[in-house]
Amino acid sequence: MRIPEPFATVSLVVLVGLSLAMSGWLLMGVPGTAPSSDQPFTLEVAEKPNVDMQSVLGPSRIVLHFGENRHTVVLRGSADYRTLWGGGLLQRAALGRVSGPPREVPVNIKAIRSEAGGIELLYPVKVPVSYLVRLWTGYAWTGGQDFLTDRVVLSVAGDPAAFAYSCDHEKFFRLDVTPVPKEAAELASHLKYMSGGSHPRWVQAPAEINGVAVAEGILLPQSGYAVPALEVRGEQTDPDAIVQKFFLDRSVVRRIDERDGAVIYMGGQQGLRIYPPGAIDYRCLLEPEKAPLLDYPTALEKALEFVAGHGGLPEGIHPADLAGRGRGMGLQEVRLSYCWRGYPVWGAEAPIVVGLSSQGVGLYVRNVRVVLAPVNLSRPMMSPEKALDILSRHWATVFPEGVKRSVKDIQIGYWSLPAGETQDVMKPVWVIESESGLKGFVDAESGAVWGEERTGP
Amino acid sequence: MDWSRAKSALIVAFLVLDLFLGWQVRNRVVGMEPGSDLTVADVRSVQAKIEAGGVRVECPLPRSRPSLSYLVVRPGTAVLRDTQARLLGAEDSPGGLATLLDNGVLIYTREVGSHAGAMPKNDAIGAARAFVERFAGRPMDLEFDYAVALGEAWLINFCSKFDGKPVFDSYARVLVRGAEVAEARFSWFEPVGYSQQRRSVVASTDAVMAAVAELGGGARGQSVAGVSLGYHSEPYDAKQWESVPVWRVLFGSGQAVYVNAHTGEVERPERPGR
Repeated sequence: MRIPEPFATVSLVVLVGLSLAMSGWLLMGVPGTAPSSDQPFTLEVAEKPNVDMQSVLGPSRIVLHFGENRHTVVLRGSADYRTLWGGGLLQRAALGRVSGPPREVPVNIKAIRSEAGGIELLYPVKVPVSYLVRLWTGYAWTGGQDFLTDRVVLSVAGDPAAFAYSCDHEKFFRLDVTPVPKEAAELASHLKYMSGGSHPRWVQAPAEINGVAVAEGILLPQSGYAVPALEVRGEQTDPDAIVQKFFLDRSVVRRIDERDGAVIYMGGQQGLRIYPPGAIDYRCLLEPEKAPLLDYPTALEKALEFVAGHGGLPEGIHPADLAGRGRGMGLQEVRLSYCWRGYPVWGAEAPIVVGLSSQGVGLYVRNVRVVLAPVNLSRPMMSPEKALDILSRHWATVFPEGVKRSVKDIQIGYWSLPAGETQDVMKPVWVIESESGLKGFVDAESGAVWGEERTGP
Repeated sequence: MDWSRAKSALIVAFLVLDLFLGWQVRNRVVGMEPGSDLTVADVRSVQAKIEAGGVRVECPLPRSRPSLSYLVVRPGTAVLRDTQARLLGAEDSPGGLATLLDNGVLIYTREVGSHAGAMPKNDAIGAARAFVERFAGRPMDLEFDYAVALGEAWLINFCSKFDGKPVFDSYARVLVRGAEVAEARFSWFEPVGYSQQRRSVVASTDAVMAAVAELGGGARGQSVAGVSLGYHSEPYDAKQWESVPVWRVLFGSGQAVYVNAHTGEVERPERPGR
């Protein structure tokens, strides 16, 4: 039997359309009929999100020395930072070719800091130097002894070298670098331009402020330096949209509406709490593991991939040396924070915490505030000297047995309240770290001490 | 090339492909429809397996597998406060203590005099029913659920229903000692409505197997006294929550095991983020 031509054409189009539609349903999942999802999120993802480790593990501050006690600090997120680091100028000009093992040699860091052209890279956490070299150069580390570092000093004039501070040995190690002449000239030209520009000037802190010893190399902004407070809100949280990211099959998940407005979703071993201000707390019960699962850089990459797929990577995301939530669950915790225009966000708890095990992700806390607008402080920003004085008195009260009264770092950041607490304004804080690893946070407007955080390796 | 012939071949090929895909889609969707009922042979086979493990089955096992949604409930604290007030303040108050706990359970106790043994079961149920109707009343609308003999006393359980299905966490449990009500426990969650898509429930036989496995060695020598389909959830100090369809497997000792009727897993209390 012969099928009439127009009928055959229409039938074929309908059949093709039908097959495409049904294939789509089967691939995407017929609504409400997905298989059981009582599984932790595995660490291997089919489609890896794009995570820029150069950016995440870039220095949080780049200190430029112009000579004659003239310095400036370039923060992550600024245009200069994008030129120097994001654009890869510094890496190409001074770090692109690292040769030989790190050597313990006498080095006068003070001299480098006082000369024009000296550069310091300050990292937010201690990172294995091998990993940094791999990030800078793109090839695997063959330098022998590895160590943790949080500070690298570059000397680009005369005998070019990078001096990485070993937190393990408490001394600098020299890495031989071979600058690319063209890029080095471009860097020198950019530094020269910056030294003459209107960039905020930072000056060497005195050796002692109000009886508290201050480590060499700490820079303080000149008077008049001010950062605004920030009007913020929690991340947009449509609970039903969020829950889709954590539970493949919503139909086996039960919802609990708390009296305080929080919503909890539970399904099998998984639980997700969505706080009214916009934070989330996800847990999945996993078998406890004794041994650490991954080396830190690998764990960091895995955690970032998870964060990218579950809410996205906030601007200026970086590892944070802050407490996490859920310690003792046998998970390997990666703690992260984010920045506003290069100023890192601090708090009693890290804004983002990912708990990993070989079975998958067992913990994910995300407490990111979205900045609506900068707002002026109601009074002039407090000087770091005043903040240090307040903190010193506070510590004397809180730690009557004594805290090592010497400061190893002073920087500016913002203070975020814990997940679940509503916050309309994030205020700037002076973050002061003592030699003993104790960090104090002093409200730069009111002088209130927000808390202490004892950090460690 | 003979386009007409090629088109016919493609039509046949896509027809076969669409039939195959349609079958796959149907298989996925069928999970949302009521499941096929168990046959008598299915039930007998599972019953024999359970009894071979030393557990007697003393009730019929339901053969139907309807599709059910979640039931949204909220605490009925106000209703329980009314009950508490009636227990303590009514003219015919029986006396005793009535305490409303933070978890939303009202506990009533009173001293009763000496007694010469337990009442007959039906009399005890009648006494308990009269007590519940007098002091709980509407909107709890409780119906008799089961009775357990406890030496010289009877524990009589009443349960609320929504759309004909028991809400196991809305109950009154009355202890009748001798001829008097000695203790009672009230819990009431107000149904708000349904949520989620309907899904067919697992077979009651699977639920009984899961419940027996849950008791492990403790199940040997016990009897399965009742298997019923309803809603259950842990009580929460929350505004409202979803209560899931469960098979409640009631053993002769009065012990109940709740088996999630969608997943077939035994329900255990847990809570994240606290």
